[in-house]
Amino acid sequence: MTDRADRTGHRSAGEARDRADQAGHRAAGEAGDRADRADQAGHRTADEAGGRADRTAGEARGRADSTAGEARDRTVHERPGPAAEQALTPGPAAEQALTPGQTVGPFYGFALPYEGGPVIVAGGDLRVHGTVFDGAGEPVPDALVEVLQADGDGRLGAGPHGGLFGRCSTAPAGRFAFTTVMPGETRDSCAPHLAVMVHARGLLLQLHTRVYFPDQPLNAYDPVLAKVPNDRRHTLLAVPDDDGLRFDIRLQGEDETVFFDV
Amino acid sequence: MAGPLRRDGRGVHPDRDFPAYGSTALRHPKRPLVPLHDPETELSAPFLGAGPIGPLDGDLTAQHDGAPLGERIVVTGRVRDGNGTPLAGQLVEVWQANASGRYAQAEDAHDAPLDPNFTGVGRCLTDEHGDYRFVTVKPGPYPWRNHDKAWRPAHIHFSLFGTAFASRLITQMYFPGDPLVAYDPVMRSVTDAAARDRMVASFDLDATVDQWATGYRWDIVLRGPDRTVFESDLPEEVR
Repeated sequence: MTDRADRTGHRSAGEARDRADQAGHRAAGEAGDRADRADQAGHRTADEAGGRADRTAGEARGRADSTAGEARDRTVHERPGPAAEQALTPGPAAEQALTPGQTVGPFYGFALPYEGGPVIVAGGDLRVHGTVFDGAGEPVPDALVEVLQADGDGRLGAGPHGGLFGRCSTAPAGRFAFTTVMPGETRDSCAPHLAVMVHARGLLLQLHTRVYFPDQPLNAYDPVLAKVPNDRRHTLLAVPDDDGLRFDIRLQGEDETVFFDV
Repeated sequence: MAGPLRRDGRGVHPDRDFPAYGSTALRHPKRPLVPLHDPETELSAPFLGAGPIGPLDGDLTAQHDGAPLGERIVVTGRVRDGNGTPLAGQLVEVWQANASGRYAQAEDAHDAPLDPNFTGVGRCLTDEHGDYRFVTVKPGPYPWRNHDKAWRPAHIHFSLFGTAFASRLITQMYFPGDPLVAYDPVMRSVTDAAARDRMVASFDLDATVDQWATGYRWDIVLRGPDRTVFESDLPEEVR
């Protein structure tokens, strides 16, 4: 940041806070309410000031973003913040200003995998394993596979229990393996399945797929499988082998795994 | 199940096929995604409980005997859903390179020093206001082999879940005024300028601690519940 931009940023941030304080104090009401609101206003305005300072700095450095972008940005910052007010207000909402996703990158192996991550249910009698492949048929050694599933009775997120969760890195050979139990039929009439999420270097946004199990009569009535073209359905079915049930994930190419837009 | 999630606004996410980031070439599906509407499993939240994912530790500068090298910073912000509702009790996982731009992972071959006093991994839960806070050092930029003279801008990786598997977000936070951002295909894979700005933290005097650390503020927005659905539409168990 240049000195000039830095000073400008500080000055406008300070002014903004002063204005916010005044605005907060003008707002009548009981003492606690006033303090809360002043605090909120202060934060909001300081945010905006921060945003302006950033933009000023950006312009000073010649890193120009479009005017339209700034306008949209300001709109986002000035949206009323407190949730309680919004949640009770019906009517069309502004488009969600989501934080964009980014790749998990190559170096998360020291951070995200945790002891017990591949054990969804300790002592479970179901082993689901596989390899993540890229479009050239090469194993992907820097993917992260996450699983969410119902318990044996098909329960998900009931009370404090939530869905059963597991996480497994594919380092060093592209392979993953989970220990768990066979999930039950869920209340939306889905056959037993595991919801699977794939993150990887080179994958800018996660992918969702599902593991279904062979020889489950309910597969024929599953509303999700029903949406999948016949000739691709097999990519969602685990295959029995000596090691349990194999479920390979092909990110691209022949027999590309079916991924879902959820 | 938390109920349906809003589907709008997701166009800001990167296209998985982004040639400027070479590694996407063989790692993006070419067949269309199959749309799932309101699948119970993916709309459920994982049970992460009292830390099966590892110890909560929001101070990355206090994990070793000595203090890490680099510029000590506070990174804080609020996690909200797309309706503006703060999300309390959310697990926030972060990881990053050290001040020299080197990850504490054996595979990182960048010729920059490791710091024996810095691992670069943190976890915390958002408080009742949806706020998270980490103390760390500012990560350094580092080179990669995507193109000639490719350097990643300084960034901190973030991982969050939100209210459902389908609201999961893995992303990266960038720093204001970083000239490398303009050349970074990972960052530029977000093509909407306003959305890109939302990945950049703001220097924040409120978060700055006098004589100790500079402060950055970075708010995060995850998919929110679809409020056009009435309570009576939901299964009895989730009312």
